[in-house]
Amino acid sequence: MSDKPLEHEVDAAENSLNSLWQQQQTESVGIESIKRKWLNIKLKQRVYFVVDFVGVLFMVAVCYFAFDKMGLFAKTWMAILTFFAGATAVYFSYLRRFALNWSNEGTGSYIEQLKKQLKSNIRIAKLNRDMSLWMILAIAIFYVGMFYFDEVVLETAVRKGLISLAILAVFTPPFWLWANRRAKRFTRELMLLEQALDQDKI
Amino acid sequence: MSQDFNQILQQYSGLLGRVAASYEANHHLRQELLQEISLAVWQSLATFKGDSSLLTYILRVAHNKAVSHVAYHAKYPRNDSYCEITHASESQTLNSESHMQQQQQINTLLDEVRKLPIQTRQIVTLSMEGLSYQDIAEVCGIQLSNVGVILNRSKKVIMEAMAHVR
Repeated sequence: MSDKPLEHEVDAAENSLNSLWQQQQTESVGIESIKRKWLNIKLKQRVYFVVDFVGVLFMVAVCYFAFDKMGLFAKTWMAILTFFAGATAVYFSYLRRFALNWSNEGTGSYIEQLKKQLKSNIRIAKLNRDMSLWMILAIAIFYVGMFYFDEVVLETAVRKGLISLAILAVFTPPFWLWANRRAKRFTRELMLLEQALDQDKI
Repeated sequence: MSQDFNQILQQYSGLLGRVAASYEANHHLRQELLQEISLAVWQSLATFKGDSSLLTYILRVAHNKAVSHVAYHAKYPRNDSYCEITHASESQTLNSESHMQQQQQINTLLDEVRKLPIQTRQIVTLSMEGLSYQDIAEVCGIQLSNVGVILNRSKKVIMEAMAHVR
C-alpha cells in the first residue's frame, strides 16, 4: 500500500490548516487610536514642512532686504543659493507625501516601487550629507568672490566669512551626522528587505 | 471618514490582525504594525472604486503596508529581549488540554508561516483566508500558474512541521 496520502486526505488536512489559521486570537485596534495616530502624523508632517521652508524664507528675506546693498557677484551667488535651497525644500516636501502612503497595487510591483523609493532615499540622504560640506565651500567662495570683484574690502570679507563659518561649524556636524545616520538606516532597510525577499527556506 | 469605514474596519479587524501576525512575532511591534495596517486601510477605503472585491482590496493594502514594516524595522535591534511576549495569547491561560494543544498548533503554524519568504508567506496566508488562486494572483501581482506551484510546496512543508506537534 502506498504511503502517498489520498486526495481527500490532503483536502481535509488543508481545511484543518485553514480552520486553525482563522481560529488564532488577534488583537484589535480601536478606531479612536487610529484617528489619533492619523492626527499625529499630519501634525508631524506640517511641522516638517514648516522647518523645510524656514531656511528658504530666511534667504529670501535676506535677498529682499539687502539686495540693493549687494554687488553683482553677491546678488548672483545669493540668487543661486536661494534657488537651490527652495528646490531642495520643494523636493523634500514632495518626498514627505510618501510618509502617509498606502498602496493598493499588487505586492510584486509594490515591492519594486518600495525598493526604488529606498534607493532614492539613500541617494537623497547622501546628497544632504555631502551638501552640508559643500555649503562651507559655497560660503568661502561667496566671500572670496565678493573680495575678488571689489564688492567688499578684505577686512570685511574675512570678518563676515569667519562669522559665517563659525555658524556653519556649529550646525554642520550635527546635520552631517543626522544625514549620515539616515543614509545608513535606508541602506539597512533596503538590505533587510532584499534579504527577506531572497530568503528561500522552502 | 464616514461611519461605514469604521464598520468595515471592525468587520475585517480579525483578518488584519492575522496579516500583522504573519509578519511580526514580537507582540509590541505586532500591535504597532496592526495599527499602521488599520490606518492604511482606513485611508485607502476612500478611494475604493469597486474594481475588485473589497476583501482583495483590503488585503492588498494590508500586505503592502506589512512589507514596508519588514524593511522599516531594520532600524530596531532584533533582540529577543526587546519583548518577552512573542505569542500574545499565551498569556491568556486556557484551561482545557485541547485548547492548549490547539494554541500550540497555532503557534507552530505562525512560526512556520513567518519562516517563509515574503511572497510565499503572502500566498500561503491568503490561501488560508480562503481566497481563490485568481484572487491570490491578483493580490500578489503574480501569474496565476505560479500560485499553485508555490502553494503546494509550502503547504507541504507546513503540514510536515504541524505533524510533529500533533
